[in-house]
Amino acid sequence: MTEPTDQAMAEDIETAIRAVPGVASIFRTGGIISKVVDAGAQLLGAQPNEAPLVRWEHTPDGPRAEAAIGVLAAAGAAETSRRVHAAIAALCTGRGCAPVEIRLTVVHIDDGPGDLASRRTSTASLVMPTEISPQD
Amino acid sequence: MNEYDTPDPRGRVTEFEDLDGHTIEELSDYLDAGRTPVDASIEGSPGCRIALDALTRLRELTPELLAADTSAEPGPDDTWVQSILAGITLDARAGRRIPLPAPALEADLGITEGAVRGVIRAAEHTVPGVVIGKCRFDGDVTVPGEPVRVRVDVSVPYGEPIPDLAERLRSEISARVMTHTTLNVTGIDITVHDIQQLQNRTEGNR
Repeated sequence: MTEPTDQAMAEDIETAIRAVPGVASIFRTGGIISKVVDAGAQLLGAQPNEAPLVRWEHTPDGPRAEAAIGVLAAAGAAETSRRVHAAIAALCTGRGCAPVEIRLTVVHIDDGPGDLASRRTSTASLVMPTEISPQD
Repeated sequence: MNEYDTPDPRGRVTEFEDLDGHTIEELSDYLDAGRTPVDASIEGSPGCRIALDALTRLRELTPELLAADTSAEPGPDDTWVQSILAGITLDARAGRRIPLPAPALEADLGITEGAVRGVIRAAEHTVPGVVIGKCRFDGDVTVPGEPVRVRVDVSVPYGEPIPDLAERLRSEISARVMTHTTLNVTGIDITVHDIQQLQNRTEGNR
């Protein structure tokens, strides 16, 4: 169960991450099962999950933050990750939470032109009538 | 261990796992609609975003490739487009977590194999007419310093010297991998598995 103060901390971390140059997006952390359950609930009319995208939790070893981010290609994944780590560490230090374990994963790189192009309406569908067979 | 630490059991992956419950057909329809209304479950899925990026680049070659493909091939199952779509679906999954240099002991930074495959696939932008069908890493990408080979299968446009195209693509892929990772890449193997006739194609029209 996430305590209200924990949720506020997660939201503050999320805000700090978004302010880092090179960060294009933040993705929800969590396993595929929880994501699919969320998606299914939304299909059934439930409101989108408004819980923080960042995970903030207390472990026996101390506080822990986890985030999955998308970065701009020009900024570089490694460099942007370092900056995001610094931003989270500074926030936690300011709140008296240091040291904190910080786990960051870059899950998408925004290459720019493709993403811009994808927002144009396309007139052709590339998908043929047949299904792609599962690989199992 | 979490969702981004999964091994790379490509033979056991299902499409459901690849795209967070969405199908490549749904993503294609979503692109048709101009990505509106915004579907939070698609836009919030890294796998879907990687697949959308690749689909978008593929569409930039349309209709010339589709026209050539559908006029020459007998059935949809074996078409070039289907094989590319299958590759996009497979490459979009997160795969293994590649460590990034950590600035502190308590820091754990990484990037998914899927994200790196996505940015490698985007090298298509710089070599007009080339389409990457599949991308994979041979070697243990989860251990810093381990030798890794990048292997890509590509389709190239008819009429252009393949060695030149391959060298340009190799150079671009190398630069992209070095920008985003510290992988010890010992080689980039490019296999041309298809040559496509692009109708009315002019350089730089993508």
